[in-house]
Amino acid sequence: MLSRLARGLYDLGRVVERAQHVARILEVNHKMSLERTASDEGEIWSAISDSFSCHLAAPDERGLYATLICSPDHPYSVLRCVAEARDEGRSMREQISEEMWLHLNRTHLELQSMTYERVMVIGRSEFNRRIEIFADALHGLADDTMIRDESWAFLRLGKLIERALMVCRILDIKRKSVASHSDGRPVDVYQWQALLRSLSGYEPYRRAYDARVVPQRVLEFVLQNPDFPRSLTCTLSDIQTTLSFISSSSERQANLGLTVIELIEELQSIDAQLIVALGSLEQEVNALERACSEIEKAVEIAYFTSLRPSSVPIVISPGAGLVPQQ
Amino acid sequence: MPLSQTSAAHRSANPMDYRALSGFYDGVFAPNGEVRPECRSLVSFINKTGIEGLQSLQRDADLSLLNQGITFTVYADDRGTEKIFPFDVIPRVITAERWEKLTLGLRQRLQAINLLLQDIYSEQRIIKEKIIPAELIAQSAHFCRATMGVEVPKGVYVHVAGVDLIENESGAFVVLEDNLRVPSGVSYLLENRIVMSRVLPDLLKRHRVRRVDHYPQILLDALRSMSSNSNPVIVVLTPGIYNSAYFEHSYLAAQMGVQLVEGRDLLVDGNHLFMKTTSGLKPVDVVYRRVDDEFIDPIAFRSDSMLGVPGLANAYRKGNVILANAPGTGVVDDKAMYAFIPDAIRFYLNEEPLLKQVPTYMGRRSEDLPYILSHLEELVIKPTDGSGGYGLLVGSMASQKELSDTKRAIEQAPEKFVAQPIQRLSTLPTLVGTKSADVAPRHVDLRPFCISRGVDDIEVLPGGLTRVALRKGNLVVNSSQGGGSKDTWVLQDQGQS
Repeated sequence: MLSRLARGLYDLGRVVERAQHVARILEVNHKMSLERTASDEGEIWSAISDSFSCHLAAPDERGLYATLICSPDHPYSVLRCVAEARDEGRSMREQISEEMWLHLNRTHLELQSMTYERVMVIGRSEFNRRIEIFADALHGLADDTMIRDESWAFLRLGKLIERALMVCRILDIKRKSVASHSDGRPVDVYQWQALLRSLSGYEPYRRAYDARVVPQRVLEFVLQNPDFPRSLTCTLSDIQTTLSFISSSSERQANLGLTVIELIEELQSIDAQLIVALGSLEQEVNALERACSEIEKAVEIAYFTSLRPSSVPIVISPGAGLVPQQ
Repeated sequence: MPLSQTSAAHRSANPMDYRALSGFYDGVFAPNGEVRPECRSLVSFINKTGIEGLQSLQRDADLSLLNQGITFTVYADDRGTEKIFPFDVIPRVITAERWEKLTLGLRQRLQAINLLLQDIYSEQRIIKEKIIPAELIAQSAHFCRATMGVEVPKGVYVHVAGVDLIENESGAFVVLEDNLRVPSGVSYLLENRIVMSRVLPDLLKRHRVRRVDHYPQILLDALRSMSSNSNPVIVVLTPGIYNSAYFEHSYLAAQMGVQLVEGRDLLVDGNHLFMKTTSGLKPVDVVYRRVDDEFIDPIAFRSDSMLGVPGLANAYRKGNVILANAPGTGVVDDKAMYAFIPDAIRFYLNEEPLLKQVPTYMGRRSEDLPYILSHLEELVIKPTDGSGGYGLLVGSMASQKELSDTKRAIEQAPEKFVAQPIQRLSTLPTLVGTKSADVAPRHVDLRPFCISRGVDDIEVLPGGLTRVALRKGNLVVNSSQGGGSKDTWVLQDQGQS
């Protein structure tokens, strides 16, 4: 398929996944902030602000909502992501299903005049819930109404790459907000819980273990669980499966699959107990973030950039058209 | 306006209590007030349905178009609002006999136009024989040097034409413009038929209307036949989603089952054209381009445009890619050149033109100039280099100052102007008004679509886009001027099945 269309579908998958994560992170921390002291609260908002490069002088909830929900420019702003998703959909209407187009268009019409004040009137939770449902529904429609061809695979690849990067980012937010006191105080337990909730993982976690939030288990669950769809291992396995739907005619494309498999193997060898004991979460998270960014870049190079087949230099002489140099 | 004098209540009971405008040809009513034989069934249907019934059908049709997103972009609106193209549920009926005559005329005209283009871009016999003045071509903004000397497959320059016609007072079709560059509107024609078959299936069936839905197939076959490759790769080149006709570009690509591409999807390497795909570069053989000449190659033409493909003109000159339509067809699609098409038909085909066209007085001709200057009030004055109605003056509607200004301008540079008699566009019954709706006469034109597979192998789609000026008394049918469209029903021959 055309690289431009593949990229468009990939970007569509990414911005929809992104909007959902941002809305959920803000929602989880909003709920937590209701039961916290003012001093604890400052840390989490500045950790989020830092992680998403919001550049807020004094990060607070209001400032983050204004930026991460309503900003027309910030690349992680929910409203911008929804607008981008609809624009991508409009320019590729023949690639996505009618149902997906209607869903994108309706959500766009509903949100196009949204402001910070309107979000407050609707209620933060209600707004965030709508965004989560929008994203879930779009991916659900994609799986239930699209032909399982390359278009579908690139859309899914975008969603999964964004998800892998977001898992790293959520771990990073957690690390920044808890590093100073990972000593099992109640606030620490709540923050590990928030980490799970930011991935809709608290309920699955309880089912896999029990209700006790133990840092080592949380890390194992989020990094290594093979069956929880938002764990890093499961996300990477899904990426690997999705890549098998896409033609891999070049060496770069074949290597990409190998890189993903290597990272899955590396993840399995991580010892969560050791990380907690050594307090080496920062290094681990940084290394994982780097590895996921490399996969992201490798996807771009393998599929979205077609290079010239021959290396004939081209000279442009004014008014004479293209002349290959002899 | 000699409309019916009866009360509104009576009108809604009997919508066809309708009076055609005197002095104009009406497609449904003959001058003596009788219904034309081919329209009897339509008129009885409209009378039976009543105004409210028609309004309800109109709502169904509008909703169907809106839901499908059959829209065009309004440029004036910076939010890029998409609007539906207004549609009128009352169809236009054209008999098989009239259509046959029109088809023969269109074929003859396009055959001559293709031969004329071939001549202009090679030997220029028509200039050497002094039938067309050389400066007409030399000064034309649409003459394309890149096409000079290129051997186009099968001698076809104009693969798709959308000729604009009107009916004169006696109902004869008259050519207004040839539209040989990138004519649009065929998707509306096709969608109008789909809507009609949904909203008025029985009426459509009763009329035995000729089909139009094979248009994408005809176009695809014609494009395929241009390539020497037995299984050519064909693409539709669009300027992108912000173009007002983007819907049509994507519609045609989908209907033909070919890739819709933008300039940035293509690249030229070693004078061959490729598209950038996820599995590398794929060669392209034929481009049905919906991008104007001056934008197709930033190296050969406008360097400030990103819509085209650098090097495309060279690949074309080398014969490695086929462009439909060929660059440079606009040289014939020009207000001054238009006047010479009948001469071209006589010159190349040795035939008399079958279709009438509007007499054109040319400022450059010394015998025409005094007539233009003394009859401004009865003429439409057009600058030769203008398009889209820009700089056009309708003498009967102009103020004294506008007339004297124009007169001065013509005296200063007579070669820059042509003049034509004001045309009396025919009318058709049209559902107008929302609160107090009525069926009233509105002016229409007709744009049939013609596809050339060879110089003497030209197919005219039996139908055409009927554009209607929805405002009372308006003679301009463009969508920017509040124009809408109607489905055009070409009836089958009695003998045909």
